[in-house]
Amino acid sequence: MEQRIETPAGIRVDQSNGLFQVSRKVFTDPEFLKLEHEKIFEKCWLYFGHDSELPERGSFLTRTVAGRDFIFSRDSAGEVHVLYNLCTHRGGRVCREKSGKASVFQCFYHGWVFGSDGALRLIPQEGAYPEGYKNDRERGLVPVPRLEQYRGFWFINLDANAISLFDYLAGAKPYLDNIADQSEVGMAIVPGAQAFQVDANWKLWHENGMDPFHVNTVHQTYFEYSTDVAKIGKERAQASGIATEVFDRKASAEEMMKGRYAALMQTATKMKLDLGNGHMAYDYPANHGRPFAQWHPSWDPKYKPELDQSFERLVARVGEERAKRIALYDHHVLIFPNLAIVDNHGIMIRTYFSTKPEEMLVQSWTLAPAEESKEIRRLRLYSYMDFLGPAGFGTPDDVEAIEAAQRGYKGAEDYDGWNDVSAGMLPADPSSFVRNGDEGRMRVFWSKWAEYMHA
Amino acid sequence: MLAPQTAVSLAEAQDLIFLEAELLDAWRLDDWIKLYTDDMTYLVPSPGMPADASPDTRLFLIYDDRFRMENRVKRLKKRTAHSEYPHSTTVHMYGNLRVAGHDADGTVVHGTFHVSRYKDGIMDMFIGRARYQLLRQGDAVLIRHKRCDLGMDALVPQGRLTIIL
Ligand code: FES
Ligand SMILES: [Fe+2]
Repeated sequence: MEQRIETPAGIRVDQSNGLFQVSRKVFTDPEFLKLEHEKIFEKCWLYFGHDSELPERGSFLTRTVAGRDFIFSRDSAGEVHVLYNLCTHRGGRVCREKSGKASVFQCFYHGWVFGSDGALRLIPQEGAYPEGYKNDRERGLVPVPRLEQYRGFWFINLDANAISLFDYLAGAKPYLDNIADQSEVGMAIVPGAQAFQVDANWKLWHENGMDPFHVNTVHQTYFEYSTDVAKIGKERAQASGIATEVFDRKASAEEMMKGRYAALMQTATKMKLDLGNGHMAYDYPANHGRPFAQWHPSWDPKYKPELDQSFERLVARVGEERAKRIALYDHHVLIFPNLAIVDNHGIMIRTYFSTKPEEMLVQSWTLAPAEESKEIRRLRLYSYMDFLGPAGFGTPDDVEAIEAAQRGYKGAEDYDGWNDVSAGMLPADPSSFVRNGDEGRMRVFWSKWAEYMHA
Repeated sequence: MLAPQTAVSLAEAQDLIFLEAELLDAWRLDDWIKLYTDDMTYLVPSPGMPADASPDTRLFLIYDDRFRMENRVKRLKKRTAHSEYPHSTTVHMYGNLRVAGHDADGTVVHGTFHVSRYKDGIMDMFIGRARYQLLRQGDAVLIRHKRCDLGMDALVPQGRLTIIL
């Protein structure tokens, strides 16, 4: 009983009593946020963008990551850069467009001109400076300290001494492989970035992304909808002579849980589905259509031949076992600290960052095989919106749930409030995990979070 | 050019669109959806998209056909549609309406929208361009297509679009 450890970083763990708690202060106190910026966001690899967003030499876009404004550009030699979007002269904003193509960027304040590689090219009043002044690398736009990519996913690190991205991603890499390998020619971001503000702390969204318990309550209306869709679809499929029993089997809770259990059993790490370095994932057999590459009765039979073909081509490319893993399962991977990739009704990439404890900016994109047909692309985009995005039948209810929680934390200091993430710590019925899942993945996150905050 | 008897006049368009606003503000969604044809679409592009963006090649916020719209309505009527429970209060303002043309598919009406949503002490605003295609069916004038292009490049601070614009 005396094993209760209280850490200054806001979590407390009592293994012998199966208790894992998180202080509500970590969602409201500006001191915690300041510390997170310094100890987590200035130390970890942060997702920046996808290689396909810079399709040509000279392509650029501007993006805010970790509260900093950057230019993401591909220079005339094809090399990718992430540059702070402010002028080395007196700090003017160099690029004021969302995206485009340019060989140079001119600061509108006093007219300094920079190349797409960041080097200073021209100062209008060059004679006022010493000879060769503009050629000093120091005068060029400031590059982010570290920029590395894994399979088309570009990450930045504000710490020049960080370990490599490859090592940092640890066990998350096979999940990124399973996404990258959905295309023979390369995955590409589909135009249509969605940015939105959620009035809650960034960690609540990350937690939500690995929380199995909210799904049935928060998303009840979505499941009612998808049940209706599947029922109508089944009749349509049977009318065109397609057997649907196999899909009933796949959709059974038991089958899905078997998938989860199998995934759990394959994981030899100390925490459930812990991929190392605070990353975590889960996957389970999908009980809906997947635009790559699984038809489902909820979709018109006209899409079936092409999806079946994609699956066969995938088998030929990566072998049957991996093909099944890629195409027939939904995948959620959460990369520490603030990246979620969900591959279910489409592929969603999402990041979140707080500049105030009770607010976050969410940015999300969708990724698709570049070569997919117009029809499947249309189906993919339509089906994405069934659940995902700020107007989907799912996402807004997640937003409502975490915003309501955040509002509730006001005043939590009055009674020293703690959130409970103990489910699965010391289960009275160990088989309950197979039926219901638990909060183990959230503890993976919180444990790593505390480790960084202490460092 | 359509025969004059099938073209929809500005007065008819205004009547219909203002009725739509009233029904939406009253959350009379079952009556509201009756203003639409069976082959309807309702589109809201993601913020920051060009006016000619297509939902087949870009990710939209909303890409509803009649089927999904009926299900959106069904969902919004449930107390388990948490983000709209209890229902927010809205004021739909449609303005600058004008008939932009007629063709075989109906009458095109352009305008602007300014929709305010109030819930839990927070007022959110949605502004932008509205485009309609209206169709005469029997005695009634119905909405065949509606598209609302938001005039902002992110849902900041709104965070969600759970009402119908
Ligand atoms: S601040 Fe950019 S040119 Fe002066
Ligand atoms: Fe959710």
